[in-house]
Parts: sequence; C-alpha cells; structure tokens
Amino acid sequence: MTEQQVYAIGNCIVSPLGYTSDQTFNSIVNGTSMLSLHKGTFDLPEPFFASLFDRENLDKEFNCECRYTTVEQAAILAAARAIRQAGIDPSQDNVLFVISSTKGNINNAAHGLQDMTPYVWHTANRIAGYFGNRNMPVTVSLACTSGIVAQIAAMRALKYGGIGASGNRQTYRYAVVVGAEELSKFIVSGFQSFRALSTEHCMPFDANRKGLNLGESAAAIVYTIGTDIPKGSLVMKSGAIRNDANHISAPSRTAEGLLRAIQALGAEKDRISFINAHGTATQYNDDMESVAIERAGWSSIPVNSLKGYLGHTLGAAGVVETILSYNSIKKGIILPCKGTVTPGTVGKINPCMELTAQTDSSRNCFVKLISGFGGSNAAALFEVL
Amino acid sequence: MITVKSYCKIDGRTISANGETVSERPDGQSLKDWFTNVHKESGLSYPKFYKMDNLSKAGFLAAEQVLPENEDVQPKEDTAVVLFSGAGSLDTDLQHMETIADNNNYYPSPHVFVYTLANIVCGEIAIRHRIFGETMCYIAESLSAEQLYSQLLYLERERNTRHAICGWCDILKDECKVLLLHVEICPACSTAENEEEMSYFRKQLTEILYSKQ
Repeated sequence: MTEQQVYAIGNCIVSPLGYTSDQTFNSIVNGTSMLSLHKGTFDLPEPFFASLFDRENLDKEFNCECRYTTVEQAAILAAARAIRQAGIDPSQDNVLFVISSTKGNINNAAHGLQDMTPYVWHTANRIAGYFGNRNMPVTVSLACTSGIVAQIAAMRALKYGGIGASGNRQTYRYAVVVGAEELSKFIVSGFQSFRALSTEHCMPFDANRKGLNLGESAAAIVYTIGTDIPKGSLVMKSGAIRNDANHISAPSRTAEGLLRAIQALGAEKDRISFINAHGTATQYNDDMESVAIERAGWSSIPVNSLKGYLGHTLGAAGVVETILSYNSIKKGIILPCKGTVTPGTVGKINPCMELTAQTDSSRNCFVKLISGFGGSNAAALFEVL
Repeated sequence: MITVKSYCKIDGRTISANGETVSERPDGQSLKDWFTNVHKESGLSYPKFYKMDNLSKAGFLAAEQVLPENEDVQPKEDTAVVLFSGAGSLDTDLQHMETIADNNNYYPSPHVFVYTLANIVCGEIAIRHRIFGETMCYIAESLSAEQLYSQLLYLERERNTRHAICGWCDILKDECKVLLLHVEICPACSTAENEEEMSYFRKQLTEILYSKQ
C-alpha cells in the first residue's frame, strides 16, 4: 500500500502586495515590495521601515459589517479563499484549524486587560468560529517559528488523529493552517528597543546588513491526507523542531538547533531546488543559518530570503513563505534575495541574487528554515508533484 | 506507552512535588519574591534566574522539581518540552505596554520585550537542562488532558523522543497555575490500544489535578 501523504488543496496569501497568492507571487516576481519608511504610524516616536496593510482597503476587501480587527480580517480572508479553493465545508468536525500568530490582538490590551480579546486562544476561536467550526483550534506560540510549527502540528494531526473531549479517538480529514500578524506600537517598539530593526530596506545575507524590516500579512493552507495526490500538489514530506539550548534571544553560533532540525528531515540533497531561509537580515540570524547550511553540507544549494519583499511577518512568515516557495517550484524558478548587494556570512552559502530558472526537473523539492526567540528552530521539507 | 514519572504543582499558595509540599508562600509576598526565595533556598545558584519573568521562573522551578537530582546534564536530543498556557506571555505583555503608553515617558526595554513570547519559558528550561530536542508551546483556553495526551502521542509516533517535560504553565498578575510533568515515552512498549492508554493517562492526570498537592 502506498503511504498516506499530507498535501495542500488550497492556499491564499493576504499581503500588502495583494489579496491572493497569485497577486502576491506575481508582484514579487516583478520585484515589487511595499517596504517603506513610516513616520508617526501607530503613534511611535521613532520612524520604522515596514510593509503594512492599507487598512481601509483591507476593510473594503473584507466587506462585512461585522466587527473584526485587522489581524482577524486578514486571517479570515486568507482562510476563506484557501477553503473555497479546496472546496471543503469548514464547519465539519473532520476539519481542524491550526492558528499561528505571535501577538494576535495584543493591541486590544493597550489600555490594560479589559476583556478576553488579547488572549491568543480567543483570536483563534474568532477565526475558527467565523467558519462555524466546533473543534477547539490548535494555537501554536513558538515565536517566529510558529508558521512552520503550525504546519508540523497540522501534519501530525492529519497523520495520527487526536483525542476528543470524551477520550475517544478523533480523526481529521482536513487541517486549515492560518498564519496572521498585524503590527502595532507593541511589536515595533519592542524590536526597536532590541536594536534589531534596520532604518533602511533590509539586506538579507549581505555583508553590510543592518537589521530586519517588519511586515504584516496573513496566509492559509488547507492540508489533507491521502494517496491519490493530484499532479502539481504541494506535499509536506517532513518537519522538525529543535532547540539551541543556548540563549533566549541570540541564536547558537554553531547553529546547534537548526542543524539538528535539518538533519532530522531526511532530505535528499539532489532533489532540492532551493533553501528558503528565514533570512531576517540581522547579523546573528543570517550568520547562524549560513553555519547550519554549511554544516549540513548544503553550501552549493541556492538559498533565498523573501524578507526583502514583505518584511518579517512574524507568525505569518512560515505560512506565507511556504506558499511563495511552492509557486516558485511550480513556475520552475528560484526567487532572488531583494535588497542584497554583496553577500557575506560566516558560513559558506549560495545566495540567489537574480531570478533563476530551475532547469533540472528532478529538483522539485524545497526546504524551509525558520528560527526565533526562545532558541526555537524549525525546518520542513516540501515536494511539488 | 506514556508514563508519568514525576510532577510538580504550583498555585498561588503552594509549590508541591509528587504530593509533598516544597514551599508555602508567606502572606503578602509577591510571586516574584516567593520564587526568588525558593530559588535561593534550593541552593542552586543560577544567575539567569533573576532576569526571568514570572512565567519563566515558575516553569524553571517546576522543571527543577520534576527532573531527577542526578540528572545527566549532557546535551540531549531525545527530550522534549511541551507546554500549554492560557494567558501565554500576557503578564509581561502588560509590563511592556506600560513602558510605551506615554511618549513623554517612553522606555521600552529589550529585557522585558524578550519575555513577551509564551515559548521563552520552554527555552529557559531547555538551556538549563541542555535539551536540544523539540520545544512546543500552545495557547489554550484551559488545561485539557486530551490535548496534552494528543501531543505526547505524536511524539511517540515520531519515534525520536523518550522524555518530555510537559504540562500547563500559566501566570497572570498574582494568579499562578502550573502543572508540570516528567513523562517517559516508550514507542516500543505500546501494546494497549490508545483508548486504554488514554483513559489510564487521564485517570493519572485527573488524580494529580484534583489532589490537594
């Protein structure tokens, strides 16, 4: 019997570059970015360079008299479009929602804790509840790795089922993974205090990189499990999460966690078209990733970072970048790092500097890397049939 | 097969381990001061402890209780940290909020901001015990034996985890509820159906939850 595999049947990106995956991907292929300097936005005393939603426009696109916050609107819009593409009924009990957002509606606590809305599980309930789904959503909170961790959690739920409230075995046929993040004074001020932000366009893997740019986005992928997988599908082959056990805000210099996550994937080097790195453009992150890639023996494989198009979209990043990488493989291309001029990292890597055609059809896999505070690292291997 | 080896409970008044009281909180003492005293009295000198927020302090102290004293401090990849929390990092989120509410009195700090993520406590436990395995953190409305068991079941099926530090870790202002377990995972010894294992685990967890200590 052929082994059951987890594969995607619908996806959608809602970003400042567009409200569908195609719109966002095509803008990126054309080299477009909405990253710009914002002065006075969110009442911040210092300017910041970021990619933000046009809130009025998003509200129009959402087109509902109901009261939803920006992060909820973006998440629901992305999920609704991915679900429509998948052609499933999201209110059924065999559908599980997996939500990834680092700060959800934290903005609602700006004047203290007045209601339950700043609890991230509440935001998750709002999103799953919109679709009439009655299962308790799974809400992952693993800092910036959350978007990949959510997909790993979804894969496991589909493969192994779960335990229902009455103690009986529960199986899921579909998992809707939703990553979403809106920026706020809370998030931007914190990253500024860390001196992690660049006041100019970010430069992933560049020798002169000065820090990251933040961004807002939402994205959703509907996964299912089976053996009869249509051609062109995105298959999630494996995923791993490992800790650096080193420092809560600085990555391991020897990339202990990320290297272990990569090694746990069981990836065949010759099948990989490119590595979609986290590539935040901070000194530490990009060096750490380069060390992991070199130690894994993958220095020759093209590496890209998509942060120069959409910024670092935190809890959404893993989901957004998985969809963009899937589209790249389908189109037979490798997207270049935007903003990078002179690559320079501690570890030897092969950053993709211009839009490149992938001519080897046996290279239909990509690896997604992601890391975050708390020493978290995750890696996932995807194949496009 | 998933077996509970030891457990630690912390509420607003008591820290207990495997049913024995470890510390009682003196009246009027803040959680922070209480945790600091417990750390001091334990004889463990871990300088990073003082920088932690209350969520991490609570998780750290509970992990000290559930792991064996003669613990092997070699790097280990076969151990996971799987935590659930209701409020997540809200306790520290509110502190960060205070520092940015007024632009005339604006003092955001990286030392506070780093703790505005629920998974930092997993990282602190991983650093202390040299755990290079999986760290997972979920936000949930309440502690559910079923959800926790599902996650442990996945680790068993993935076959690379033998131990998990897992449970519920929740702090908000003066309220504290921690239930941390050290469980052993043995993929090869799973003989019973999952339903049977689950009902046994649920019974164990319910007993621990509702026991006074």
